[in-house]
Amino acid sequence: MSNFISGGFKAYLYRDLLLSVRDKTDLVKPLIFFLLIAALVPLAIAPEAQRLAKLAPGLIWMLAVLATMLSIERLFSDDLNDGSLEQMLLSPNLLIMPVLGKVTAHWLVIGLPLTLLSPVIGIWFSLPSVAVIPMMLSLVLGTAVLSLIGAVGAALTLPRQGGVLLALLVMPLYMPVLIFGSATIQSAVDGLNWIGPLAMLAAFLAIAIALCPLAITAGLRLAKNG
Amino acid sequence: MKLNVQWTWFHRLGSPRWFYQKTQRWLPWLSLVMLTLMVTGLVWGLAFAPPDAKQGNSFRIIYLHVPASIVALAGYYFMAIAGAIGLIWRIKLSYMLMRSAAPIGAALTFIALVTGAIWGKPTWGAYWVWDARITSMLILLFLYLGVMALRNTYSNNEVADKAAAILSLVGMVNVPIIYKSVDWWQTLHQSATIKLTGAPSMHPDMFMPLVVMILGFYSFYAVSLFLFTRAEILRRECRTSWVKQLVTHNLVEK
Amino acid sequence: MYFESFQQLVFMGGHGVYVWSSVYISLVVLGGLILKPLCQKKQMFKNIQVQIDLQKANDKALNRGQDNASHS
Repeated sequence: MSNFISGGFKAYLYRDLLLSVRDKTDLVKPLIFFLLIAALVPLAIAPEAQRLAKLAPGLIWMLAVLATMLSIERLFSDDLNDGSLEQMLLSPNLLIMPVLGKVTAHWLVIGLPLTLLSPVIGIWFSLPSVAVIPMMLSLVLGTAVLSLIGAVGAALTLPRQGGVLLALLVMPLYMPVLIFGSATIQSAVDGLNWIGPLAMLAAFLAIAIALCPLAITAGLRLAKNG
Repeated sequence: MKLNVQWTWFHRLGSPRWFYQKTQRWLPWLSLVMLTLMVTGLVWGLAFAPPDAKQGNSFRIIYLHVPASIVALAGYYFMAIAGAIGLIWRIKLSYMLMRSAAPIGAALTFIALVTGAIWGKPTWGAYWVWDARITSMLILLFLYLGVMALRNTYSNNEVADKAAAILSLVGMVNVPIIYKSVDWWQTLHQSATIKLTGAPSMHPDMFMPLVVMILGFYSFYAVSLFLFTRAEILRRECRTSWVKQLVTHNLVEK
Repeated sequence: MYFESFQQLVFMGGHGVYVWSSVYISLVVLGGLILKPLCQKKQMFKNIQVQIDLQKANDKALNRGQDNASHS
């Protein structure tokens, strides 16, 4: 009985992690993108520490959003192509379990490394050190929400992939996360209470874990039956 | 057993043919109501109402901007609920109403954004200010565009309907969250001058034409929705005998 | 009327440009929202008529073929 409920989560988590590790380029690409664009910004704007520090909270979060959007698109496409999606749909386990496993794997491969790399970006942008922990906490929670919402978009656009539609679909849904994520960092920089915005991110995560899998599974079933 | 009276009544309510025939009779007088309200409201608001003490005559844009925003937002909820009804009870007509609601809502949101921007220039000196209301409206536009864009992803009508319904529902959950988030983030926009409870903070001479325009926009929405849905019904039911009869009958009359 | 002359109505103390451009754009979009479905309906009627005509021609050809077959 417990296997029916939790079965599939661990299996697909390990499976996706293994697949990601095998294809190392896919693993590293979004992170390199993250660092590259971050390096380009001072060239485009100005190398002044003051200006960069002002941009830092929003910019770091924008980069996280972009990196997630780029990488989430192909979350289900490989499975669709090689028939694994059908296996998932046919298995007696609850479909949300493999889905959550895959999304968690995505977060572990994209969101978590992003969080760990963020202090580097912080240093590049002269982010005050008092804001580093809040930044990392906001990214840990926020990127998980981004992965979940992104997976909804990936599932719904599965029949016809082409980046723009996915971006259009998830962008409005990403906005609150973006707002509170960068607000956490900004509040920390300003010396204000940053637990408040962080708590909102936690709330978003709770809602996302509850609701997104439903939308994702519905979308996957549609993609298969369409 | 689903063969009880309630089910047949419900089922008939969802029949596209029933809708087409009913709206045929409703549209003339509904259009009349709409025109009366819109013309009255517009003339009243543009020519007869007093101008705002601070903003002068540019404030008259409110008679277009506010009704458009209200109906655009309400329209999103309508679209999402129509989608939910379609998903739960598998009523085709509900999906058709949902599909029609998308472009209408998007266009109204566009009107709200443009009139808001034009209003902003003389009032705040800038065409665009990233405040709660405008930003939320922009996100609403993207939500609508997303639902419209999703249509082309699926070749099968039935599946496309379900996907659009799912997306609308996800968006519906998100609309209050988005609004509150952006509101929290920036508050430049003046606080709502119309509250559901309590007296509006506008002079009645300015408020009355606004109410008329809001009603006018709602009736406009209904008219446009009916027109779009009727076209959609024809498109989807073109192989049925009643549609064929309708078309031949139409030509005979001509 | 609040304004004393038609001139004043158009000019609106300098704000006329803003107000009337808003009105114009709104009316154009609203008009489109009525005209588009009406055009769609007309188009559908045309398409369905073509479909019916094709069906009739097809049926006629079929009947003629059957008559020929039954005669010979």
